[in-house]
Amino acid sequence: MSSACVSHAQPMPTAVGIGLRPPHFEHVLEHRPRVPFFELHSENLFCGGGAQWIMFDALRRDYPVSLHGVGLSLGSADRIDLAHLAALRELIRRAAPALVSEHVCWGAVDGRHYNDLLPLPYTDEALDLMVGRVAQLQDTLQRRVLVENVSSYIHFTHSTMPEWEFLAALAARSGCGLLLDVNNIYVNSVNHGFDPCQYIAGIPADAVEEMHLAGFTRKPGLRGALLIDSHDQRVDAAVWSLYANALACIGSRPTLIEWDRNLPEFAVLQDEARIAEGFLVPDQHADLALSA
Amino acid sequence: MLTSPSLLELQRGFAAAIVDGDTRLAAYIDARAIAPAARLRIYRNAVFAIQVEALETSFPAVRRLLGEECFDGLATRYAARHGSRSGNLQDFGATFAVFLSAQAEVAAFSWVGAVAELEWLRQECALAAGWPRADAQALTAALLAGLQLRVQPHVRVLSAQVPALDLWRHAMESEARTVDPAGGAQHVLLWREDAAVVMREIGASQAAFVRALRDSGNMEAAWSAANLVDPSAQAEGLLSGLLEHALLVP
Repeated sequence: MSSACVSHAQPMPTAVGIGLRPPHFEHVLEHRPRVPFFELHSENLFCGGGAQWIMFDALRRDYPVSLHGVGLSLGSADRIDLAHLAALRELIRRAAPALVSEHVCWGAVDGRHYNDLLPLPYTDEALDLMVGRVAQLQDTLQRRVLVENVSSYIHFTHSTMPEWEFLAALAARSGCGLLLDVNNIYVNSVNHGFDPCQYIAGIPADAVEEMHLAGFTRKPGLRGALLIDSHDQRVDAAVWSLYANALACIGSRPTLIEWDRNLPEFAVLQDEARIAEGFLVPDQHADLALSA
Repeated sequence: MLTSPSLLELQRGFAAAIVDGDTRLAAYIDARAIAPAARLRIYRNAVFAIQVEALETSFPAVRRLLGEECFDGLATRYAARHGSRSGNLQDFGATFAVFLSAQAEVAAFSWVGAVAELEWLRQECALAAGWPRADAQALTAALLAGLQLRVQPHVRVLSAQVPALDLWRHAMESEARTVDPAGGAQHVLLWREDAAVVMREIGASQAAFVRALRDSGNMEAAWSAANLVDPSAQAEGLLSGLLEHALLVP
């Protein structure tokens, strides 16, 4: 990471925030619920103005906000999308979020985007590429970023290291932070047959700055077990258990409840957040973020 | 023994699996009781579902007018043939109106491209930047002084050979009246008030005026464009609405 990187000024509490999606904008702005922080998708703010920015400007007056990118495709082998990178730089300059994150994945090749988080093979070639791309991202944004482990339904036979070693090496070599998605770890442990606790034990605790929690679905009609990272229901009991394990190994971290499909009432997300709060060691700064 | 693919080879193989259902990548995928081809299909289905959903969001009136099944079929074909050129799904669908106009199944619906174009302009309008509103006095003074005026970045204009706005309202507004799709040309001014997109039918000369002013930023060019359409067009008529809603900025 460049020595010119600057840190953000807005503090992120060690508490449980909520991923904010457009159907809940009106509710949040009207009721100002007690939520320690919100996370939004970066690309939704690539626009110049309109409803998203009106909401965002109102939101950030009262809450810390993190921005989570889904479309940069850091792991594309041919090139990074410089227009996307420039749009992200402008957004981060304008929005000054508490945290900025992206994914350890690829999503485009030869100029065509698939708008999904596609899996990488865990090889030295992919690691070298990701280290360079994360460094490019951090230099461009002039700040440390977090990268998130993705769920996957494919494991490449020519991978030469487990996913957790890949993440640990990426963080060590690029200086980035890690956004540990505990649901994705569990999903992958079932889909690819590894011990999720071994995964967490292999993650450098100092690098982890945030965790994510979400719901999955079981894909029916297959000969083997396969979980889909659907973000459309409550966090599974097995994931709560793994979250407790992660907190014990790594320590309490800002944690986010994600729910993207079949969105329930906002109160359901708050209820999930309350459950997660029960696992955290309380943060003395958390209440400072709450204005209502 | 297979030689491992480079990362670029792997990603091109993955892309072929998504776009064409190609399964050559299967040799490098761990089966674990589920066929590699089935694992690849999960991604293929997910990518098209994501992109079709983005089109559903951007083109709700076209979907209602064509019916969900017809729309989703055409949207899937568009996603497969054209793909996305951006990591930001808000950009996906810019050429959907042109694509729809060329599809045999909807050839009888000559209005479909125009309604889709209107919906894309609505999206552009909703997402565009906006400058601070100028007050009426400042605008009038600028006009009297012969100063150049610019159009707000969120303003758009559609000139269609069909009643695209009436069709859109018929699809989206419960109290809209019945529309004759062959009811003639319609010109539409679109702009944003706070977060909401507003649409209003305007005359052909005003459409030409606003379009030329947007494109050139030059008032003289805009007056000329309007007079080409209607030599009797008056400034008062051309500026009506634009001044009222502060869509011009000194």
